[in-house]
Amino acid sequence: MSSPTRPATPARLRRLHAAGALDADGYRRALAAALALPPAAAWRRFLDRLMLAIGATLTVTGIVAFFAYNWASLGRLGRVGLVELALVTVGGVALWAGVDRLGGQLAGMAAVALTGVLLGAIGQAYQQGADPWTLFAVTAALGLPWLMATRFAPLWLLELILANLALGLWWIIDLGDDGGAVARFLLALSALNGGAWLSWTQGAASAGLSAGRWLPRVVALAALAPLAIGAAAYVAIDVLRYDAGPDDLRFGPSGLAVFVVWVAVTAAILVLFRRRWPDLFMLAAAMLGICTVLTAGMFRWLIEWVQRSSDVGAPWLVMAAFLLAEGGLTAVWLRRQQLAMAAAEDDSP
Amino acid sequence: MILPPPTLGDALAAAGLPREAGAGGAGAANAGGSPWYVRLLVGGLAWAAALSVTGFLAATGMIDEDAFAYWGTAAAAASIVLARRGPSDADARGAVADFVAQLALVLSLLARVLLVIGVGTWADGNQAVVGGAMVVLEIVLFIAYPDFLQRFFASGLACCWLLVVLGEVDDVLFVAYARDIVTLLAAFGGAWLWIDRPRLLAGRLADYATPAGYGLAVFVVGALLQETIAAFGRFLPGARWPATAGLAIGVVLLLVWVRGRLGRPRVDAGAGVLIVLVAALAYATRIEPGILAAVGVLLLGFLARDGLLYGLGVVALGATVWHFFYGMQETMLVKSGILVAGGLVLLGGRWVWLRLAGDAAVSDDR
Repeated sequence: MSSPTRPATPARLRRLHAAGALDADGYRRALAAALALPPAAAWRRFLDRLMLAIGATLTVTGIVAFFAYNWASLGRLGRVGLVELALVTVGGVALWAGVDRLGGQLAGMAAVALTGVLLGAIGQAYQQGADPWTLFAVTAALGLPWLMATRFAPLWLLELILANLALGLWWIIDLGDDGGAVARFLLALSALNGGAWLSWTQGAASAGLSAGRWLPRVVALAALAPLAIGAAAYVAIDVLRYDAGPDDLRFGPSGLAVFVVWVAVTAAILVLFRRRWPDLFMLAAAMLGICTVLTAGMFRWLIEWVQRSSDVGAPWLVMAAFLLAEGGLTAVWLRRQQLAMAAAEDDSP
Repeated sequence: MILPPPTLGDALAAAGLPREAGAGGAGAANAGGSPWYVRLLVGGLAWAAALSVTGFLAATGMIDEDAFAYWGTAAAAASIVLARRGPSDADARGAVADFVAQLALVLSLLARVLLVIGVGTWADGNQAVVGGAMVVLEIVLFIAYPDFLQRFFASGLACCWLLVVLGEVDDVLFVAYARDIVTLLAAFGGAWLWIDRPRLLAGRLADYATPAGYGLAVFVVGALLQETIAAFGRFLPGARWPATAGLAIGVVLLLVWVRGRLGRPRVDAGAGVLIVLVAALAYATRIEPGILAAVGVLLLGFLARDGLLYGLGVVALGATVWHFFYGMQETMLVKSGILVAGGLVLLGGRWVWLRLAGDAAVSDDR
């Protein structure tokens, strides 16, 4: 029975009262205990930290604003030197505080961010004509030693964001009006984040990284979203458009590839995360993708309908009915999965 | 930085009950509704469906502008009926009930839009009539619509409509002070709801206290982002300094009350430093009362151990400090000087306070 160790929230106490486990007097006393005023030491600590946080924020912001005011009058060396000084300072703080402690890990993360700022400042001062994606790629590469030293999950996520930005900026040079290139970019983005998700789920624990269940979920969403968006766009633009001209955007075979990969990945999630590794979040993410593709298809079909007839009211009504049915079915199915998972959990030894 | 609530077992023990007193209702206590991401998904689909129905009504022109108020009233009534069919406790809902609850919520929001346009048409744009009618609607929804989110919206929006009513008054000075008074009343009312929460949640106002507490807190913070709201063009600016002074008094009273409840002298040297710091903050930010409101929300969030309220305070503090900095009619150099000076005064005040408080335990685990 895990109940006594759960937080005594007012909602939980109220449900206990409604279920008859607490009488009115017990409920009132339990509420008073759960919502009791924090003790004096906690108040002093809170006020101390509040003043420290606000005071430090105001002071640092003022200093930053001062340099922002004088930035234009600083020379190249002054600008680069200033950022270098900040980088050396936070690097020193990280080493002094210890890279295995929160303060040192945060300082290490700040050092990675300042590395990017330093590269930007150097690029601005001594312009070489390099593509912007190199800034993020080199920053990510230079951040790897910090990641290995600190083993800090948010820094791992920052590195992944930098890699996404580098990939996006690299690909955008090549995109133009070519739908096929957009589809290939979405595939690459999904592959990058899917690979990151796999590496996290398989190796994070052994590498000393821990972040609960939310970080891999965010990364899984980042892997699924490009596929679902690409599949929805392929259905709406390539499949259901009847009178496309030769110059209109088309995703072509690459779009079909995105669609096929999306179908395969969605099917795999629906099979694997129902029973083998029960996870309602992953099922909801897969359903979000299915709803996105179906809704985009229906939307496109209705646009075609409006273009072929003068009826502007009926398509809205059809769309509303479709969304109601889609939402209702999604709600019912997810609820069933949730109850089945809860029952399976209760039955497990 | 807030303290988490105690565990169920600890709370029951502190209340003089056996730690296992809740075991009989453990199933009820743990009974999960849908997780938030499922609610978000089905809620989003419900919103899209409801907006499509609205698109259908707009595209076909089925509703005449003169009949908007009737349709709005009907939509409000329908939303109340729909909402009362499901469980009022959102945590006990399944995904299907979540879907229906979201449909009802959209219907109630649609009712608001239709009534604003409909009553505005009838009253020839008279803000007092429109605002008054909407205050009545918000009160009806607050009482009759058993949903946390709806009551949160209704309590905050009712205060906003009061400001709309003031827009019909010609005396600008009167409006400026009246606006500050409305905001202060909402601030003190909201503070009472959070301070007296344990008693309120055990009584007949249990379903109303928390959503109204959030609604009033969001209203106060939003209303005090002065220029932002003035940008909508429907509200005249407040006088600002009365709101700042009132909020400063409120923050000081709250701190003194907390000291009294903790068995400390209500006023001593340590309290004096805090009062001086609050007074200095009030003087420095007299044109931006939102900063003190944000500090008050932070204090209440800590007092009530409520992460959401505390988060609102953090966001509000960031937004109002930024707004204060952005709105100052000074050069960047002077602004940076003011920020540094303000920060140093606060850090210096903290240093003095720590010494006068005379308790080394404060910084033990920093």
